[in-house]
Amino acid sequence: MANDFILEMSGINKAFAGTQALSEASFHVKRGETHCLVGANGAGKSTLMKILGGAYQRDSGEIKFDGDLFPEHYTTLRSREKGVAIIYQELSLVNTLSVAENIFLNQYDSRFVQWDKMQQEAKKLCDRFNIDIDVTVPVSQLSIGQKQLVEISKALSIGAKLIVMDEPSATLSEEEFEILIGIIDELKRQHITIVYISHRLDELFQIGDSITVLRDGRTVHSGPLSELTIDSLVRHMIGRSVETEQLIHTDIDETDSMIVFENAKSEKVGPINFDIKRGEVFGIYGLVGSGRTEVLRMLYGVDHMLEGRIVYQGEEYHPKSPGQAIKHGMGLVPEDRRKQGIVGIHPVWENATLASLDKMKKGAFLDLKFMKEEVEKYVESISIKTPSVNTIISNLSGGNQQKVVLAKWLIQDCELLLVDEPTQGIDVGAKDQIYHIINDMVGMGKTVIIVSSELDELRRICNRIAVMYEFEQVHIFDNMTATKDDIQHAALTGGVYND
Amino acid sequence: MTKTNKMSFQDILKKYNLLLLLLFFTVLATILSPNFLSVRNIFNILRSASFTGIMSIGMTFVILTGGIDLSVGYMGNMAGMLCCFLIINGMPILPGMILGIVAGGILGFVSGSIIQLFKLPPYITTLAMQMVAQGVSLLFTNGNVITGLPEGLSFIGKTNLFNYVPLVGIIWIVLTIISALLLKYTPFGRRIYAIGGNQEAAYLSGINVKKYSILVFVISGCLAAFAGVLMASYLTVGQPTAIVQGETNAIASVVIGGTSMRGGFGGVVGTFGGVILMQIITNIFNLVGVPPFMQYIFKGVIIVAALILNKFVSGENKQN
Repeated sequence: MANDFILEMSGINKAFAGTQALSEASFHVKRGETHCLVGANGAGKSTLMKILGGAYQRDSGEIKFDGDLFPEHYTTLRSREKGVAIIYQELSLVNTLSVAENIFLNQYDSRFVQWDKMQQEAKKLCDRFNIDIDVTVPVSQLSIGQKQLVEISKALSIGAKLIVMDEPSATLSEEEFEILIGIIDELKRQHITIVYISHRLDELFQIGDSITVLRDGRTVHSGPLSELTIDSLVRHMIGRSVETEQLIHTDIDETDSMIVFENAKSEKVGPINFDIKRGEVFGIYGLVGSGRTEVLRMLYGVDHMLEGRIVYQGEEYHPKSPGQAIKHGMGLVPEDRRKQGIVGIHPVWENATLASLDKMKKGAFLDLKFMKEEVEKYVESISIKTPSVNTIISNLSGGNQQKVVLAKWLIQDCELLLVDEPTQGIDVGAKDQIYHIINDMVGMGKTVIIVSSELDELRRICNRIAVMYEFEQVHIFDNMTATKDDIQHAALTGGVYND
Repeated sequence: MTKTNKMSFQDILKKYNLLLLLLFFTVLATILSPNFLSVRNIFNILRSASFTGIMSIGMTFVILTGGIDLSVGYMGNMAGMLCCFLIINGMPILPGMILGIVAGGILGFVSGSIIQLFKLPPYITTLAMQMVAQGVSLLFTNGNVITGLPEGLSFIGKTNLFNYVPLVGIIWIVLTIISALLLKYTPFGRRIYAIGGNQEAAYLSGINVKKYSILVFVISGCLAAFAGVLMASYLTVGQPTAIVQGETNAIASVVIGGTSMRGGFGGVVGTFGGVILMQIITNIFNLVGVPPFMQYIFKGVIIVAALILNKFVSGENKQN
């Protein structure tokens, strides 16, 4: 029984309009294990999972699940009935309905809805996995982590044998992630197989039993996780090793303040006291919900500043609106790229020029030719992988979309760039390029404030790192002298080590 | 190889499907009635379409930002009545017309401001404005028509250049061209598309979303009022029900013209085609003598059919 595979996908091919998304990919998962599926963006992970789930039809190849061969064409409904549940990053819950209703959505086995029974069943299911949620509240009142648990319960309610989790940790806080690990353990005890997709490589070693690596639509490695290290894993993913040396400019004039926060307070966060120097990369670290993003929102004029003051380039600055912030030379790369960073249905060139339209005029009209040429320059210089500047931006990979957002502020020629989680959901190779772009911008004399939940990222590129805890500033660490433990301790406890 | 060929064929369909529809109905109309392609009839179509057409330009602006304006039809009637009311009470013709248009702009400003200030849905806000505008247009004369207006009023509405070409049609075409240029080649236009495409991203890119979202309702109000004033000029009678189903026709034309109801995609040239298409269909019905009430039913069916075809051709149905 050692080779009891619940899922065997072999020789899978799939092409989209000319590009081969999968070529002879294979994916074998043993019953009851947690199997990680990794690969750079565009490696074919989601395509493979969509084929498994019935959302896409494969061009060729064989799929065997739980002993049965899947037919050549099948629907999502069919694969669900067989016991495959896929939980996508964008959850498929109805926010206005209760937890219980969501779990049993469209599973009404009698003519009238039996509310008591439904709620009891939902409660039972949650209890089985130690999920502590009131099943009668609407889903909209839950945190993202809790929603994910509801989504898992929903999968269990239809008797899923294999659950695919697509980047479940991307939006989870530390505590919620611990709960998720507990649930995965519990699922394993109940012989439910899990396919775990994530870009956070360190957590794979915490969670997984074995791993399959995809690169350019092919399976390049498959085996137990214990045989790999993060480095060897990354080599498999991108076909070469990544550099990890620090990218920090140290030639900073300590007397030249770019922006100074003095007891600045918004309705959500504060008081903040930062003195950020010109040419510095200033990191803001903290747990999810510690008020990191809110500092940027206050400075950028999205949240009102209520108290204190900000001195920007030597002058008093009162944030009013993003428009005003941009006029003063600021730019924001927001946290949620798709919802806040890009206009998905518009082409690359329009997205890249959105903040600098007033500079693109010839007389009263926009000089479209000049605009496109300008964008082409940056497509070249920061190597944005796109068929052309006229390509609709949502067709690009996450990393390349993010580069377009960065290009927007390069074109606008901002002086102070605010960056919020710049590499969330972006693969290893592209991450590195984004660090280099930020580093180059600093080389051009710009100042950067960067918010991140990945400490390693901040450690690589920041001069100093401020730690936030429960919407207050704890401490500002010098990245050169502080240890990782110091910083993490502050983020977790809100206090600073005192030896 | 066949695949790439098929793709490009679909691209052609996608890009020109409105033109193909227009062509189809033109051919159909020509077969049904040889009179259809006569110069007189073509300019008739242009004239009849102008009023809805001008209204639909404003509607396009609003829909491009992701909003909707249900008040345009009655806004037009209100402006027409106000203009006639002022003129019959002694105001010179031109100021009377201008004041009518200004009134539309003000009501549009009110709708837009309420939507932005109180975060109300445009649908319900402009529905309320529709009722207000209807009430106002009836109030002037207690619902009666205004007659005995000076001949001069009819100048804009009735004049034909070179004996055939209706001035209102020219005005519509010029307004369409100006709007198309504004939308495509000015920061103002690109900002409207960005707001419709992703309001949050637009805001964080420094665009004053509130200002532009109100502005499109002002534009819509002014153009709806302008259409109403032109209609009053054409009829040379102040009639509170001169424009019937204005908003319905405008929205249908905008959507048939390829503008996305979610905003961010489309334009006034498509809308122009949409209006013409609707007018050709009406014209066909009249030429072959379909009774007016039947026309409503057929029109409804054709609108939905055109939209389904649109989706089918653009392949939108397959994704999600």
